[in-house]
Amino acid sequence: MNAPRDLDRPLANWLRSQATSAGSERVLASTLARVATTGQERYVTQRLFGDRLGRSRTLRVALVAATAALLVAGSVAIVGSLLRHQDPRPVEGRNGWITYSTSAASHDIYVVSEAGLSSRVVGADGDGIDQGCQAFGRDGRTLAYVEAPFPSDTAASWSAVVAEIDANGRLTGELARLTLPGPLQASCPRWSPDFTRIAWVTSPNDDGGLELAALDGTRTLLMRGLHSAPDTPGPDAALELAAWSPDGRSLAVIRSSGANFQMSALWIVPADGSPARELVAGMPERLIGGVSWSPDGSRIGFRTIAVPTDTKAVLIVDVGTGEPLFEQAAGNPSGPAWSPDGTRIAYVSDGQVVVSASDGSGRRVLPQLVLDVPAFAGGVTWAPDGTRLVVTASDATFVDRGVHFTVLSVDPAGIGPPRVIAPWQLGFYTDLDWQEVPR
Amino acid sequence: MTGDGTAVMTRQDLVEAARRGDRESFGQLAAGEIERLLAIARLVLRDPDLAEDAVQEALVRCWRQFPKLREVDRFDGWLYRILMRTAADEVGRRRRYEASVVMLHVEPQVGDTAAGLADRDQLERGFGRLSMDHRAVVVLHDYVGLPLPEVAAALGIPSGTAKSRYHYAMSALRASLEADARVAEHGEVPA
Repeated sequence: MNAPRDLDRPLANWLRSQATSAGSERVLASTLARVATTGQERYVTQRLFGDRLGRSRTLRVALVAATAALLVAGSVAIVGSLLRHQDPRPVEGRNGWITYSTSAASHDIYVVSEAGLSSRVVGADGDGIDQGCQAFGRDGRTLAYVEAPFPSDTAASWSAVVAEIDANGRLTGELARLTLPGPLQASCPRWSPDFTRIAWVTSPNDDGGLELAALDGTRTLLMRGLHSAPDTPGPDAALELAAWSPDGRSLAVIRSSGANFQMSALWIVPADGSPARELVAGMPERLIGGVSWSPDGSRIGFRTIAVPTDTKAVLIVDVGTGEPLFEQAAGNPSGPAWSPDGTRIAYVSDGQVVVSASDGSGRRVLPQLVLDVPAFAGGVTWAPDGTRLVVTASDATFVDRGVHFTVLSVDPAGIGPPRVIAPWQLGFYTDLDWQEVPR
Repeated sequence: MTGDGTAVMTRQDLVEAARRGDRESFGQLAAGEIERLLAIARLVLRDPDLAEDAVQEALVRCWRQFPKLREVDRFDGWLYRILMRTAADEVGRRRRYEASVVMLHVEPQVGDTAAGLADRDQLERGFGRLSMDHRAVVVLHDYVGLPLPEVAAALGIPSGTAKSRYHYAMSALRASLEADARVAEHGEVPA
């Protein structure tokens, strides 16, 4: 191709050449089948005043304002009464609280006990703010999370928050709030284990990369991303922040380069700004994901996908040498989750939970999860005492549409039925964490 | 009415009727839109399965929320906006659960010259290197033909952002093609 040159005509021609009607009849048929059983949504004002008048934004705003005024007045009295008389909820079991965020209505954060006591602790319906990427502090007294106006990929700024959580799973106040320039990329910002620093990947539009911010707002660029990666093959490299080391000294970062960013390498990036090192070299058309450190920081587990053959596996490597310690072929696997003592791992393969020793011995595929219908596992996390696993699951394989999601807890030995932690819903559950709460 | 007395519904009539809850009209409307929506989604997402999911979900959302559409004249922009939000949701869902991207394989067109094939390959490679946000702006502007302010409205972003994304996308595409051309001149295979 001759370059440079005017792109308008060849680009328009190429775009038109991509149009194909293949599959349209099938998609239309399945769409209309869903529409046949789906009702339409109307504003409350449309129900009260008819379709045409009810669409008026002014009318809706007036109605909302009037309702809000009434609710505020009533709530002041009711909340005051409750605060005077409410007994604290009991702490359920020694495994404390589970947190998840959900996209069902808006991205909000929930705290729930294994017995099913659930409450939304951050966010509200229709608040226009996404909250998530949360984790419990090691002492069980704090919950750190991220919030950004929706859609976060165009937000001018976002906030990283550390909040205090009491033994009854209630947030009692903010300990720190850091407002940082946006927009946010797809991978979650991650708090350091001691919640004193937050790392995230900045927008490629700003020639960004992996950044670190301290609570006083001081920012450090740890690794450059798009447009400036001379030491990696191909013109660009995309970064994905994977995980902090347990000691808070390093970060694991997935650096994808090459054609279509399909050559993923795993890098260890020191948080003090000293040079990064490539732990797992990139291979063409191999993707890496689901990265997690062992609790003692000596090993890292992750999953790989070889794109041409769609071959997937779970691997564990030595953090010091990069030598593989364990590799197991798996179907659509999650990354491995480490038991609190680091002796076992759990991961998902073909919708079922697999548990083994961290060297791969004693591999056990847990029975297919079944509630009212079969439930296919998607991700897994350990309880603080290692006696239970919390699992996100769907009611169909995740390539299907209209999938419902739930959260369950199961015995790592596969004994007994699963317990329902969160009900079936259309939105998925993410950012699971499970933390013992101090008495 | 036509000469034989058959009622002819215009596209605007179909939009009005679907907004009132007429499923048959919605079906006709969807049949007329689906190829264009699929083409847009495939270009933006670069994954045919994901694109089909996004289009189906977008049309179902469109049906559900139709009564809330205030101005029938703005149906197109409203539908594109729903499609783009749904596409972003589908990508988020895929990233969280699969972290796998299968690239769209495009068969060469019959009658392509060797130069035409090379052009298409390089355009496809360059286009695939753009982020989804940038591809969306290019597709809506250069394929659908929306002016950039309407692209901004469809994507729910400020007009300035749409312009800068378009400018960035074209610059990146040119740079990418130039890089490929330089590599080809030196007899190497492009990455």
